[in-house]
Amino acid sequence: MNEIVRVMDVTKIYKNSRGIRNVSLAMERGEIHVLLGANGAGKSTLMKAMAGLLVPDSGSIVYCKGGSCTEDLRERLYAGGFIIEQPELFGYMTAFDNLMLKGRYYQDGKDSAEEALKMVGLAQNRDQKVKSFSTGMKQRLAMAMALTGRPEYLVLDEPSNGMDIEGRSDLGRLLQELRNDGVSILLSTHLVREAAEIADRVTVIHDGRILKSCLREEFLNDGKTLENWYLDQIRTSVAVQEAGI
Amino acid sequence: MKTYGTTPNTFFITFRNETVKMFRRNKVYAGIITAAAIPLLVVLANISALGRGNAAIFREDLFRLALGIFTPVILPLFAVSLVSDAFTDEQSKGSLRTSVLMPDSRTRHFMAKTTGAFTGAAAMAATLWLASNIFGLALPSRGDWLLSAGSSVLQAAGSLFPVIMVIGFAVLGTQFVKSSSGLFLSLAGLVLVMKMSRFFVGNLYYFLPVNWLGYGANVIYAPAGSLAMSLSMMLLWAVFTGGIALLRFERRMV
Repeated sequence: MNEIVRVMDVTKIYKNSRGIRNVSLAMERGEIHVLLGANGAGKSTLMKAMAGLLVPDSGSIVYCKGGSCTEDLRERLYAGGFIIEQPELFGYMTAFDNLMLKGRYYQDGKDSAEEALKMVGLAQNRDQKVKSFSTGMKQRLAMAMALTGRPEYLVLDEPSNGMDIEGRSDLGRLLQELRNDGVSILLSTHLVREAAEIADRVTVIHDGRILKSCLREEFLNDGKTLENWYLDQIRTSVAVQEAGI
Repeated sequence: MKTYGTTPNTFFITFRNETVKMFRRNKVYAGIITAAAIPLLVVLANISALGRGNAAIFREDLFRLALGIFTPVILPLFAVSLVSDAFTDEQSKGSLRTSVLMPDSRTRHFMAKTTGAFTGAAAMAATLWLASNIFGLALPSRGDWLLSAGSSVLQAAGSLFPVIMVIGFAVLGTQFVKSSSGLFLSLAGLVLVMKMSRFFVGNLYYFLPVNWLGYGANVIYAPAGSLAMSLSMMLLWAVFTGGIALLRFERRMV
């Protein structure tokens, strides 16, 4: 079994009746799994449920290791790294002190925090207070926070928000390096072209339901760009809904 | 492969994180300085007005007097402020999400935040006690200074019971009120209602939390029965408010 996190039949409906319905998804080891969907499609809700930030109405999420799976949230958080929506760090603390809030839970936490700062290019800002950081730097630091503790998997909800072109390019390269090191990544983004370059698997979520999930080869075989393939999935779904099928 | 079981008890790490954040926010230092300043100002006022040998209070009474000034209003205000920073402020700024993404359970995050605020309040009470005993050396003594220092430890410990109660209520408030100012307003409103309620509930007024503030100053003079009743009521209140707050915090979307 190569799965590291499995989402099984998860439903979470908000008061405005939006949310996700019966969503199932698996993160495979050493794979970049891109989640595509319009605003309000349910991407963030799914990721929040995976990070334990909200309790699903039904269904379960498990973390798997060595052939056994557990629903324990602490195990899931310990093995993972998360960026959920616009992450806020603690402005009155330095970059390194922020990372050590997570680093303290790991035996090699200090080393991994130093390493994470280098990986995101903030090593020279180690002792600077976070309140003086730009939006892009804060986003890089959030990525470093996710990487502290050398996670086995990453759940990244629009991690390139607020980053400049160079930052996005660095992030893409970093994600590929991590994937090559065996880290699993679930990535939600609106930057479809950039996602197409690194995705191993793509899942389309629409109106709170999974529309389609396929490997990179499948949409490449269709001879379409990821953008056009995604739009086709949405149009087909809308047409089916309108036809009442 | 990571093994979670090899890490030490995660509550202590979470508690340490919360304490680090609390001290970096600096409010706790303001409370500690205020706590140290109260006995100092009392001593200076006495000496400058009456001279060192003729001071109106003895060193044995200084802590009780300082406690009477500090615990009814100043200590609860700081305690509520620390709780508000840990919950409401983080929630409104969005950093609560960062906090609860640390690998520990929601219950432990809640307990660490609450215990952290209590530790800050306890540090202030400890400073008041220490400052009273140090600055009190400038005042005349009745001669039973050592005995009084011992009693003052009991008084300081007694003053923490109403703080537990205040923190319990403040933590409950943070789960329903979205801003720090709203939390302070609701607490002030509650105190006002409690103050007025004596017209309606007669003798039960003595069981109302607002009457417990400043409790420590008189704790060693209270009859045993009344002491036990008040302490058990305070703990019951703290468990009740903290329990409801925990239930809500555990299910809350951050």
